[in-house]
Amino acid sequence: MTLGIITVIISFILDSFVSQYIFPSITNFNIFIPMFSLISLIIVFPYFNSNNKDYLITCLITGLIYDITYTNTLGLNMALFLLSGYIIIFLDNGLSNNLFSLLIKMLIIIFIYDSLTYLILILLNYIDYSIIDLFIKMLKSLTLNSIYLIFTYLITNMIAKHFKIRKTK
Amino acid sequence: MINIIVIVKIENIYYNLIGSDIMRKKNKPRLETKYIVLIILGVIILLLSIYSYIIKDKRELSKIEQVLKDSVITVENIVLFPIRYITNEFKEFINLRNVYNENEILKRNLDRYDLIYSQNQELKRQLEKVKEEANIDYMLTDYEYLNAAIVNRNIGYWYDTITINKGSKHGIKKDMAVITSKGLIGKIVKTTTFNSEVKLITSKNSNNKISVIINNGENDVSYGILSGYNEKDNTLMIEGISDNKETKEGSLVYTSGLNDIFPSGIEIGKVKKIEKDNYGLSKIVYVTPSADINDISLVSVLKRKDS
Repeated sequence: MTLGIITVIISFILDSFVSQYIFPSITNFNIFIPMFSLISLIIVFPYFNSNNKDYLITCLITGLIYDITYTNTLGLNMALFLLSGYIIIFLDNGLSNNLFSLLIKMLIIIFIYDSLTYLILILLNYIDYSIIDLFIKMLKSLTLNSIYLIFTYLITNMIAKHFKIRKTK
Repeated sequence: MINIIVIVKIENIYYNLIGSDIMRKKNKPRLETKYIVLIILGVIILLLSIYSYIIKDKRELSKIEQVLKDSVITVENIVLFPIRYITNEFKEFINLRNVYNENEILKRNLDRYDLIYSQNQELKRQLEKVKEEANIDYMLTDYEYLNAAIVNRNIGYWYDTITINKGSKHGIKKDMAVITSKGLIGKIVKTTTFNSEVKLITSKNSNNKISVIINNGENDVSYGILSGYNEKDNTLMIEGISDNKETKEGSLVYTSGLNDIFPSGIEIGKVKKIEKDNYGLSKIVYVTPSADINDISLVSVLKRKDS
């Protein structure tokens, strides 16, 4: 569980760093859109060893801090991260935790998270983007986040093996 | 025989128990599907109403939100300090290649600088004299500068915001204009004690409108509203311009100072193309922004003197 929480914290900070220094685009021309905090929640689930309550609390707190620090939409990401947590738990029943399954989970989570965020912001007349923009955003999210998922999965696996940390298969 | 009787009795007891359990479940009052749907709809509407209040730019951040935001950004700055330091050094090293060329250009401009400076001082003196005579306390062009660095950029994609490292402690207030050395980039929408959030002029937020002036030359100007951004062309869209006035490509566009938010005279960009609106009654002007929105590290916040 400790490894999981550390991974989430590092991903949260990297979210800010990558968007500021590595792909510093402010307007939406950016080819790569980091969503590391959300992706880390997919990777760290096995390290909670079926302790769903602690896992969901982690999702909730990550969403809350994400809201306060990055988006000022108190409660929005908190609810969406929590929902993502529930979906990850649900998907865990059908899919194992190998790299390929994690990539499929990532696709599903990004699709649900982006669609719901877009839907809520459009309903509240906060943004003026077309549905095509939503799909472009999703496509832009996939490349960088897939690389991050693979990279983080391998590193956390290595650390878990080295320190003999237990995780669900 | 006795065994059979015992088995039959046990079966009877078992069926009685199970049967009574099923009956109890059947008798238990259950919510009808239509009520469940109504409850779900009610919850969705309630949540949307709460969010509609929360995401408003007008909403002030609560004290707890401010403290949490400042704390997380401070921790983030401390953790990222070594990486930021190395990144900046690396960038500066790359920039060194251009230093010679830049220095040559600066040398050429230096001669003109003295002349412009003295002209500027003279104009300031004359303006102060006019203000004294006309008994004017401030003008729309009066403002003070406050420099700041960017600590976060457009995380969450849809919001088109950046976070700067100056807050209410440094005198920053909501709706102040934010510029780079080349022109306007946005306005302050949220402040905490040590940080502020800037909504960019490229934002596709329906509330993001700015009153602007297009300089047509020879004291002829047109007024319009900056109301959108086109990603493909990297142009800002200005609407509501009278069709009677002639607007040329390449004309300068700057803030009018009429909306009580921005000081006047802040450069926004140059006219790229002009089109008629759907009804043919007014013009839509597309403007190339002067500031490179994608390459910003330092900004200045403008404080209007009357604010």
